[in-house]
Amino acid sequence: MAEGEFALLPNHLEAALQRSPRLARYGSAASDLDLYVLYAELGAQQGGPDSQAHAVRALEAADRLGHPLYQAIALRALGVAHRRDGAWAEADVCLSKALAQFQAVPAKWQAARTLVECTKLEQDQGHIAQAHMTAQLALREFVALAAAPDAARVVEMLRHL
Amino acid sequence: MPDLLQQLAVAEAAGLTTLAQSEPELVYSFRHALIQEAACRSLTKFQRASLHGTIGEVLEAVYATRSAEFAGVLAVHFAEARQTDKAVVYALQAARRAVSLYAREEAYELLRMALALFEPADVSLNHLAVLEELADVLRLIRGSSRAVALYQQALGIWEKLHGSDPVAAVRLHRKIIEAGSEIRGSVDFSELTSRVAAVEALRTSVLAGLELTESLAPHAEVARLLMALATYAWSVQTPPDWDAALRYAQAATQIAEQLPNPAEFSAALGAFAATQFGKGQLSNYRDVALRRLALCRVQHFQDLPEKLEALRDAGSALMYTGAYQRALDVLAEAEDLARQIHAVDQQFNSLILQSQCWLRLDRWDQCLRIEAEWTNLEKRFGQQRLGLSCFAVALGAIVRAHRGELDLARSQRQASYDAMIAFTGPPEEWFRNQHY
Repeated sequence: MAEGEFALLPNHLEAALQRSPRLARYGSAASDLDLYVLYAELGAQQGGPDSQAHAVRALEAADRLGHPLYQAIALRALGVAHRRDGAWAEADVCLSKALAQFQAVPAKWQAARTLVECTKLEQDQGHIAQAHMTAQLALREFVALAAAPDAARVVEMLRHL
Repeated sequence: MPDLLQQLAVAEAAGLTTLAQSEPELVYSFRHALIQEAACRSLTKFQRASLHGTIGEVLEAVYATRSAEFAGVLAVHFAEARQTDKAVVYALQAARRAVSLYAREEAYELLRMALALFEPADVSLNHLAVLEELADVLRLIRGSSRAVALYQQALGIWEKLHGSDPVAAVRLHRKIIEAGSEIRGSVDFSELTSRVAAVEALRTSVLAGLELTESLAPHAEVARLLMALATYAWSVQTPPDWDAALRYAQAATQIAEQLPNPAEFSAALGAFAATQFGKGQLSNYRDVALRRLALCRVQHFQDLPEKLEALRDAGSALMYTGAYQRALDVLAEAEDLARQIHAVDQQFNSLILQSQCWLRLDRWDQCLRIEAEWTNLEKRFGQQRLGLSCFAVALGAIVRAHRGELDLARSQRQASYDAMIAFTGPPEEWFRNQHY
């Protein structure tokens, strides 16, 4: 999505879910699981009343298939939903599991994004020193990956911690 | 012979020819191409045809044990001599050899030359064979819509040849369906509707042909027709009819499993795997694709294009089920084999699937390495040979956006979107994949 089109994402996801999946030789096919995971990601980024339900649906589907990356993404989305609801212990469990799973895949950018979510949880809980350390870890990963926009966001986050 | 040698000596003394080689055989060359052309023009049509016929017969006799090697030359001489039967036999032989050596353009030219020897109304098995093989070659060079027309012409001849082999009709129907499905995946949206409609109109007769084959013993052509119908049901029909696709694919696997050639069973498993994906059974999809791959890995399996399909499909199934490292190993093997057999579209596809895996593993460096590789391939062979690159371009846009290279990301994103619109039409016409 280009800037300004992010709001259209739910429309595309709905339209995609209503259509039958097809294998595409030169492109990417999209299974129901792919779409559930996108919904979960969207919920984690935008919030909203259905975000937890989307995360649970994605997690169940990823568990059924044993898809490690998608399990981790769904767990992170569930963790974010719990954090927003103030269920910190549940959020901590989900985010820790997600982080371990991303590291096992390995998916370093995803792991760093999860560290950012851990930072927010620690901040919400008032563990500022810990949040600072976690954010530094995330920043180090983003810099190593040359993920400039994410690194800039963490720098900004650190300024306000 | 002494007479010929004398004449050659005269020509050489006059400076028209030169002895190019004396061992192991005498070879004379014209000093200039214009001299050769002038010599040819000095002959009447009849003399020229007669000389070509004589040369063809001499070459046939001298190289009797190496006719496969000289088939192309023999085809040209007999075509010039208007000896159609011989010209066609050698053109077919030479074209098959050229295809086996991946010289597809050469095969195309030979078969076009052979086809020109027939009157359009000619009803013969030779005419049918040339039409069918020319269409086969056209499909290899992404000319599937022209291939459909040639197969239809061949079917017309088959119908007039009362009592000819019913399996040939099944085969031609199957190829029409396959080519129709290929058109679906290879033309611009603006051209699509009319072409698909043409193929759709044939479906009823194909199904009738299928009914006729029900009484036949298990036969490779019946299995192949069922596979083609399975693919047609999900790739051409709108909306896809996955239940029909599954029925056809299951029937194809049941027949193919009884056939002696394991490549038939492998291809049927491929059709079955695709229907499992469409039905949302990703574990089954992966299991069937891996079973197919195991079948192709046995030592005596020699069908390399089929093995390549199996590798690519298994790599894809592993990717969709999140086993990225295993997928990368299989896809690298697919890429190597594709390079080896000059299947550039498959090479491109294997690269893009690898790029998707690397993207999931957050290895943007690898994505960019692959982008450099596929853009080089596109420069060398063109998009026509490789297939659509909108998805590959979109992967580049994602990586650039992650790296903060926003201008480049924007331009790649726009290029990908524009290509998708050209291919599938406006968003209301999109399939699930385009929205995804």
